Parts: sequence; C-alpha cells; structure tokens
Amino acid sequence: MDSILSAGIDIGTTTLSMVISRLSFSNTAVSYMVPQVDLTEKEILYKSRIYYTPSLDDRHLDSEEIKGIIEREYRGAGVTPDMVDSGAVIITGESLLKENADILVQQLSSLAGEFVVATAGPDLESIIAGKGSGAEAYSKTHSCAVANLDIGGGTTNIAVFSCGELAAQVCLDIGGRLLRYDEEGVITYVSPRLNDLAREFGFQITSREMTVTPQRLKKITDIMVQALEQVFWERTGPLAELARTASSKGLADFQRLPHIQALSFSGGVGDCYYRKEDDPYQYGDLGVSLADSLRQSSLTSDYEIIEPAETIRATVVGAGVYATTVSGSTIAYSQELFPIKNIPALLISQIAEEDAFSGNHEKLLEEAAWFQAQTGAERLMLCMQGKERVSYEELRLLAKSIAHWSGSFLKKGEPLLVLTTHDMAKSLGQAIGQELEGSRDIVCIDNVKVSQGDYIDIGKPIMKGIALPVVVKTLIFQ
Amino acid sequence: MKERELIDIIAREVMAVLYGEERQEEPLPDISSGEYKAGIKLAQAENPLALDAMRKKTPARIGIGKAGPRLNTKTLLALRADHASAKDAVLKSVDESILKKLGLFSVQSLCQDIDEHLTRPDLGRQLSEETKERLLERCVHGPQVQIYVSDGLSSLAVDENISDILPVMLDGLKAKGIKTGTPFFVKYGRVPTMDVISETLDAEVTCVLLGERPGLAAAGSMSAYIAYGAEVGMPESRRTVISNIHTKGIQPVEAGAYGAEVITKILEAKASGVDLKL
Amino acid sequence: MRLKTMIGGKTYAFDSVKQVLAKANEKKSGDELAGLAAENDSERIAAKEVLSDLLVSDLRSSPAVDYEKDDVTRMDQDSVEPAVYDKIKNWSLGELREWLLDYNASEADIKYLSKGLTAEVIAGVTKLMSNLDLIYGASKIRIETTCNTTLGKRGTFSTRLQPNHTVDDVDGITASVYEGLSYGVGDALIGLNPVNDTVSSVKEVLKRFDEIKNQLEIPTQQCVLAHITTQMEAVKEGAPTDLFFQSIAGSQKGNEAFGFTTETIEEAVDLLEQKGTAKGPNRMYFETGQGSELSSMAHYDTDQVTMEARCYAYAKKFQPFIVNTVVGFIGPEYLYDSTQVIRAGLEDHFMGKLTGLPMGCDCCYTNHMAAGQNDIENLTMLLAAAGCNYIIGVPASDDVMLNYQTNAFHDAAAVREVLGLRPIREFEAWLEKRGILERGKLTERAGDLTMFTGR
Repeated sequence: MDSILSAGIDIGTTTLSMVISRLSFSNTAVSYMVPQVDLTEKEILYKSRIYYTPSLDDRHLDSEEIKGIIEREYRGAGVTPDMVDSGAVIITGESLLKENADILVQQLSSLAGEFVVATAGPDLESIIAGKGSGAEAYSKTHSCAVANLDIGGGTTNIAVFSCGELAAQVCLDIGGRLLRYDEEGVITYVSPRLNDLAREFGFQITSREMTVTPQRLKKITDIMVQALEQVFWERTGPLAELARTASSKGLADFQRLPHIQALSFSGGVGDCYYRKEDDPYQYGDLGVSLADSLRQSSLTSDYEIIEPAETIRATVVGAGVYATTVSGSTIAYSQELFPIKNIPALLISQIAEEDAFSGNHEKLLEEAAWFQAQTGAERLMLCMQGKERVSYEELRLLAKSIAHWSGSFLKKGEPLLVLTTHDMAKSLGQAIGQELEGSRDIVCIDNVKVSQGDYIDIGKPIMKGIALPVVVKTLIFQ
Repeated sequence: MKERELIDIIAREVMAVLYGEERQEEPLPDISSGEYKAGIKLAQAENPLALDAMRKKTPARIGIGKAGPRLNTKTLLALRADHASAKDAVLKSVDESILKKLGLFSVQSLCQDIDEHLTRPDLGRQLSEETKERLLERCVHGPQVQIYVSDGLSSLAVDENISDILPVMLDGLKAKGIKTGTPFFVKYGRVPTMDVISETLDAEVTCVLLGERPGLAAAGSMSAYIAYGAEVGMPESRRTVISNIHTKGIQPVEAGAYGAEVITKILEAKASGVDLKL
Repeated sequence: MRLKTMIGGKTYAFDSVKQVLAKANEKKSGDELAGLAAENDSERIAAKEVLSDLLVSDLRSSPAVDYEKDDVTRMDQDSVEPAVYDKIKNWSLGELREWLLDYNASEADIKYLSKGLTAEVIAGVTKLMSNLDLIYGASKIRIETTCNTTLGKRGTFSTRLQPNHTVDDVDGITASVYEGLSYGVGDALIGLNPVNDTVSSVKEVLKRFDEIKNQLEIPTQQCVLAHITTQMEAVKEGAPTDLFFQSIAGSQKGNEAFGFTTETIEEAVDLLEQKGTAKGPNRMYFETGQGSELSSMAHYDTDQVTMEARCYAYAKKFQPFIVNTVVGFIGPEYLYDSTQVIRAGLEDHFMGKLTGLPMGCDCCYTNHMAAGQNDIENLTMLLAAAGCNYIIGVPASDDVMLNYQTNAFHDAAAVREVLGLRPIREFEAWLEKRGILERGKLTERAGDLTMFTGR
C-alpha cells in the first residue's frame, strides 16, 4: 500500500473552503496475476471552516487574502505544500468570471503543492460535487439512480448516478447570489443571466432602483425552480435551455436517463434546504427563498429526497478526494519526467487509428497539425482506443506509425506521450521504444478515461514505479 | 409507404417464392458469444437498474431467470457450448502450422497419448534421455533465459496466444540486452517439466508458456511460469506465475511485455517465487 | 487371517491388509497413479472376498499409518469405545455389512456401533457395498448439528451458497449472494472461496456477509474459506465469522502439507468459542476429497478411500457443523470419469455418516475429466435420496473463480420437490416471508435478485 496526501480547494461564488485527504493505492490483484493498482482508500484528514470568498470589488477576487487563508489552513492542518502530492483547485460560478481568477488559480496551485492542479469547467464540477456529496456512493449502496443538485451562489451543478455509475451531468446558471441586496432591501447586484430568465416572464430587474420583498424573491426563485423542474420532468425545456451554463454540454444525456428515484441537494443553498432558515433576508441574496421554493416544488414531493453526507462541502471534498485517478500497472515510461502538467488530449479519429494500425501515420499528422493550430499547444497526449486484442503484427505497425509521427511532429527532445483506452500500454511502449531506439522519452499509459478538450496531469510514480497518478481536467483559461 | 419500398417488398416476396433457399438469411447467433449471454436476462426484475448494475459486477451467470425451478433453455445451451469448448481445448492437439510459423520444433514428455497425459502427471513432468539429447543438439546452451511453450491442459491456449505473447516477450528481453535460448514446444507437458529442461540446458531463468485447465469462461487461458535456477524437486513456491492470459483477461501482447519485465527483475534479484519481492 | 482366495481356478494372494484394502477398491485412477490398484476386475473381486472375511480386529490392528508417527491414527484409535469394540471385534467385514443393512439395525443401533469402528473398518465395509447399499445404508443415519441453526434433520436438504468471484469484488460477491438467496439457496451456509488469502480481504467479505445476514435477517451461517490461520487472524482483528473452515487430510503429514497442525485446529475452536458470532456448539467446517493425500505424497501407500475415511475420523474429534467432500475437484488423475466420481461421492457420504459426521457433498467436476453436468445431477439425486445434509449452489453451475462446475442454484428446489424434502424450518419460513417459496415451490418472484435491493 502506498498513500499520498491530496488537497482540495474550492473557490465558489459565495464561499471558499479547503480539505486535506489521504488517498491510498494498493495492488488489488492476486500474486499470480498482473498487478492492478487501484485507489482503494480515501480518508479526509482535515476540513477547513467555510469562508466567504473575499473579493476586492465586483471584478476582482482578493487574491492576497485568499492566499493568506490557504496558508493559514495548511498550517492548521499541519501540512506543508511539499507533503501534498495531488489534488485540485476548483474555481466556480461567478468567481470564475473575475478578471484575476486565472492568475490566482495558477498561484494557488503552486502554493498548495507541486502537483495540485488547477481545474474548472461546469460539467466536471457537477461530477465532482456529485461524488463529493456522497450521492454517487448512495446510488451504489442502494442500487438506484440519484441526482445530486449542487446549488451554490452562481450555478446549479447537476449530476445523475445510476448504481454508482455516472449517467449524466449538466450545469445551469441558477444560484443564490445571482441577486443581492443591502439591509434596506435595495438591490445591489443582479446577474445578467437572471434577467435572461426574467425576460421570459416579461420583467427585468435593475439594481440600485428596485427593492426586494419576500413575494418578489419568491417570484424569482419559483422561476429558477421551474427551470430545474424542466430538467427532471421533461428532460429539456425552454427555461432549462435558457438557464444552461454556456460551456456546459447540455441536456442531451438526460434524454436517455433511466428513471431517477431520489434527489439530493448540496452546496450552500442545498444546505439551506435541509436546515430551513426562516428569515428570507438572512444572507442578503436569493438563497433562503430558493431553498423554500424547492421545498414547495413538485420535485420534492414527487421524488424521494435524501440528505447527502456532504452538503456545503460537496465540491471541495470532491476536489480533494475524487479528482485523482491512477494508471497502472502495465504501463511504460522512459524516466523521471514527472510531474507533467497541462497536456491537452488529442483524441484521434477512428480512421486515423485504423490507418496507424496498418502502418500509416499521415492522418495522425493531419489531425495533430489541426489540433495544434486550434489549441496552440506545444505538447499533446496522443489518445487512442487501442484494441482489446492486438496481434503482434498490428502492435509493430502501430508502434512504427506512432514513431514516424513523433519524428515528424514533435520537437527534438520532446517526450512522446500516448494514452490508450484498452490495456495495451506496456507492450505498445516497448514496441515504440524498439522503433525509437532511445532517441526520445516515452510515456505510454492506459485505462484512463478522457474526452476531447480534456487536459491531463501526470504525477510522480507510485507503488515502486508501477503506477502513475493521473488527473484528467478541463481548463477554461487558455 | 413509399412506392419504391413497396416494389422492393413485392420483389423480395416473389423471389422468396421462386427461390426459397435464397431468402436472405438472418445472421446466426453464436451461443458462446458475450452477446448471446447478455441476452439471457430476467425479463421482469423489481429493480431493472440494479439488475444491470449487478450483472456488470460479476462474470458469474446471474439474473438469468428460470423455467419452473430449472434453467432456461438458452442458459442450458450456453453452458453446454462452453463445456464443449473447454473439453475440446483439453483434448485437441496444438496447431502445427502455428508452431512452424514461429519456428518452434517439438519434443514430447514421457506421456504417449492424451489419456496418459491426463492421468499420469508424474510422466508429464519427465523427458526421455533421447529427448534431452535432442534439446542439447538443437538449443543454445547456458542461456540467461530459456523460454519454451507447452500445451499443459489447454492446447487451445497455445493456438490462441502464443503468436502474440512469445515475440513480444523475446523483443522485450532483447531490448534489455538479455540473451535468450532457443524456444521450442513440449507436447504433454506439465509445469514441473520446466525443471528438467532448466537442468538439461543449464538455463539461469526458465519460463514456460503453458495452457491452463479450462474453465467455462475461458477455454484458452495461458500462464507463464518463471523460475530462477529451476531444478527437479524444488518447491512450487519458487515459481513466479503470471496467469489469466487470454482475451478477456490480460491480452497476450501486454502479458508478453510484462513478462519480459518480470524476468528482468528475476535476473537482477537472482530469485523467483516467494523469494522475489516484485 | 486369510490373505488369499480363488476365482475360476486362479489363486489370488495378497501381502497385507493394506494391500487387500487397496485392491478391493472400485476402480479409481488415483489408485492406479499410486500403483496400488488391482490389476483387473478379477483381482479386485478376489480382494473384496478376502476383505469380507477379515475381522474388525484385523483392520483395527492394521492402521494405514503407524500409531507412533501419526496423530490422525492416534486420535482414531484412542476414540474407540472398548465396550462397543469388544462386541464386534470378531465380526467379519461381510457380517458387518449385513448387520448395517439389516432391518433390525436402527439408526440408534448404528450410531452406537459407530463408536467401536476405526477408519480402516469403515473404509473396508464401504468397499463391500454396492452403490445402492451405500445409499440405503447412509439413509438410515441422520446427523444433526447446530451452529446458528440446526442442520441435518430427516426430511431436510440444505445448501451452501458459494458466491465466488474472480477478483473477490465485494459488490460482485453480494450480487451472487442475492441471486442464490432468491432461489432459496443458503440455509447451510453463505461461504466464499476467496482468491486473496489475505486478512484484509477476508475481513472485508465477512463484514459484508454479516451486514447482509443481519439486514435481511437470514437464519444461516457465514464463513470465508481462506486458510485457517488467515481466518483466525481476521477474527482476532474483529471480523465476524460463524465458522472456521479448513481442508483436511487423512494423515498428519497430509495436514502439515495443508499448513496446519492439530494444535492449530484446537486453538481455532477455542478462538471461535470466545470471539465467533455463532451460538454453537458446532463451529467447524471441514472439506475433504479422495486423492489429496497422494497429491502431497502423504498417503503411506494407502488407497484413497481408506485415506478419505481417516479424514472423517480426524474431523469427528472437533464436532464440526458441516463436512463436505469436494468429490470431483481434484481431476482425472484421481477420479477419471463420471462412474468414479459418482462412486466416490456415495462412498464419502456413507463413510462420513457412519463416522457420525454431518456430511454434505460438492457434486462437482473439472473440464479435463470425462464427466459432465448430467452426471453431477445424477449424483445429486442419489445423494439427496441417501439423506445427504447439503450440497453446494453456484450461479448456473459455473464457478467462475474455481473454474469447475457444481450444482446450480436451480438444482436444490427441483431435487427437494421430487423427493419431498425441505430446507431447514427457519430458513423455509424466511423464504416464505420473502415471497420466494410457497408450499414447497419456488414462486414467480423467485430468481429476482433485485428483490433485496430495496432501500
């Protein structure tokens, strides 16, 4: 057994928090089989308190204060950045839109540990929050389909798990802090995304001019809940579509979903749902009212509602515990190149892959050149399906194609990075090595799920070098 | 319905009447296939989600329904088909053309036929003096690694895997500068046959790629048994084993690359089996 | 003592009681492999004739392994009750056979007589029995034992649920447990053969079994069939188990090859009394099977039926809850074909019962034997008729981990119905409550493993 410390940092629209967890890996195969390294234990060692996300003004996060909080919490947890081997900094909702978010997140990720990755992206957050809340585990234990709605300040991240497997995810711009008001009830901020919804109902909200009443709040939050209802009752709908976060993939997967048996809520508003605040003005935003609208919704009367293990900390726990995966044990790599960070994944087409299997690398070159033109990336990870069953001849031809491709495409001294879906990385790495005769470093890994547009970070080898920790992430600062 | 479709249908019907036998045939179901077995499923479960999820968690045949208290016809036939493949895998001989293509010459243990092979494991472990001399004539002496192939209890395992695992393993060792001996095939071999081969050829490490006793899930499952300084009468615990090599387990090319790495570690440690900490 | 006889003008002479016992065996490939078998059927029958005339005392005084060097022999010889032995020591084995089959020999009479028998006597009389004799003789004897529940009552036929998995995935194991329960299987035991013989893995599975058993309130027992020392370590670390399992052999050397001694078993029994989760008093589970002694060269030139009888003598000492013979697992070098497997299953069951053990049978075969599922179904019916306490059940007869076939979950209900047998009472009530069994028949709902997934 080998274990590493992992940090999760969540900078949300409203709140900021951090967790430290221990991830343990072990070989789950018996001695007479090829080793299989899995993440076998996840233990949360430390949870920070929940802070309000400090900002300087509407457009800037208070990066000095945020760094100060993280440094203090690290000391409180008794860890130093060099002890932390993995993890993720997640920045979500409105915080993401702040002008200095990019720089802050980069700074935080180096402050938190060499291999703590910065990541963002609404759909990924939905998945992370769903796992962190415990909805995934619940669906597995109870063999059912559960949807977790992580409702924060800026967004509602929805993930559906069926018997422990992710079935769908989406993100809507629905959150407690899309509208804020002062102690007199004068509206101080309104999100344009909220007005997009209001427009459908023939009204607009203007800040500094309008004041709130419980009825007005309720009217707004009922509209928000109506959009959520469309997601579940109709699996689509004009309001749901309108509220969808621009970079979320959308509701396509929801059409194919099985019957959902239960809902759970997490995030700040989710927490309010279970705690039942009486004062609608408590936080100077929509949170309490939104929780109240949810309680009166047909969603909560017609679905079974479960309280997840984590509510307000779902995302941060998810970031600390569920961001890291492992590739092992039959993999190949030349030497200590790690950590390798921010490598964009190029998923090559089936045609290019078939061509490569028959010894031709022209299509690989074409696709890589196109990818490079699109992303401007200097390096990339060549991702392919591979085959469940490869013959020796096919293996040699594929290795030859990839070696030729690397000669034409990669700069001298640049390592060749390959990922296969099927378990064939070790033999492919060996065969490519034969072709390249040591002229280039090779990393060849398998059994990691990636999608087009994902980025990959690879940490230092674990388990006596037979496995590599991998974080697959989406980047939106490019 | 469009006019054209209608014409097509009529034409097909007419053709069918005229040339009955040329009627388009439905693709035949393969009763040993995963698809066929996936189709054997409880029609009405109380929790269909859980049914699918649980069937994914185990290769065991669950959620398959019943006829009275007994098995459904399809389950019964799929079982019989798998048993037939398993028995055939034991009783058949290795495909000579595969051995020829790989340039493997053949020798035989003391067993004379398959029946003796199955009932006399003691004879399967031994080689005649003539066979030993033949090995000495045809093989490199004192190799760092002697790899050879044997049928064991599944000739099918050899047919299905050897062309992919053996060259990858040899390539992997060669890339590391390790000198391998002359590979060959042993008919009616058992695992400990490798001990007498190790002694005869004076190999530092010996590795046999051998067919395992077939189960219903995989008739062609192969294992690699590897030992440092193998000698007759040594305890089984000195062997390092890589098993479950077949399409549904670890695929042969990948097992070959892994095997080459394990052999390298065994050479470095000068130990195998329980004495080797991988 | 007469060691020769004549058939058709030809004289057959034997060197020793041990040789007579070996050559009197029905044909088994394992005895041939050991070089102990009769040359041909005539010699076999000659040996049987000689055997039939040997006295109980002749066999008692020729144990397979010397008293001084083997604790199995010592335990067997020392447990003989002198008063019972004195009554029968001058009976010939032929007379013993007839006495056992006689209408006048009641169950109580046989159990009493059993106290005067050693393993070699039991093996000897078995060799004189035909298959139907073995069934009829065994059917007179019922052995009841109690762990959490009581097994072995006349009219019951129980099952061990064997939810094996290729990589010990706990959720996959759970799925197979649910599948078995939904067919009414598992009143004897829910017991896993693990792939990983590690304390952590054993603990994890036992914990899951305990959760399932308690949550669903199933009246049964649970156990993981790892090596006994691994199970003991798991229990010391707090794992819940009702039974300890161990494979046993008919000689001390054979047991040592299995990696334990008699002290290990004694310590295990003590540990379970302290820390086990069962009421008891019977808490051990032993498995046997003809041929295992030869495979570890611990057979002392003794045939495999006699060595098997000695396993039972050994087991008896520890008052096990269940014992079963894994009859066809070892392969064609010991039991070549269905004839040999069926014979061995009937022999083992009879010998175990006569020894006083709660016998079950894993009616199984490997794919390199000349046997198939039809043969195993035949054996199952014969054993159920003989009053076998329990059989094994796996999904659709295919054990994906041990790579052999045994009884399907679908078998027990059919056998019970045909022969008018039932699961044990509490378990039957549980099945009825769950809607799996109605008036002795599986319901429409039976076979739906998802019935246990309700929240």
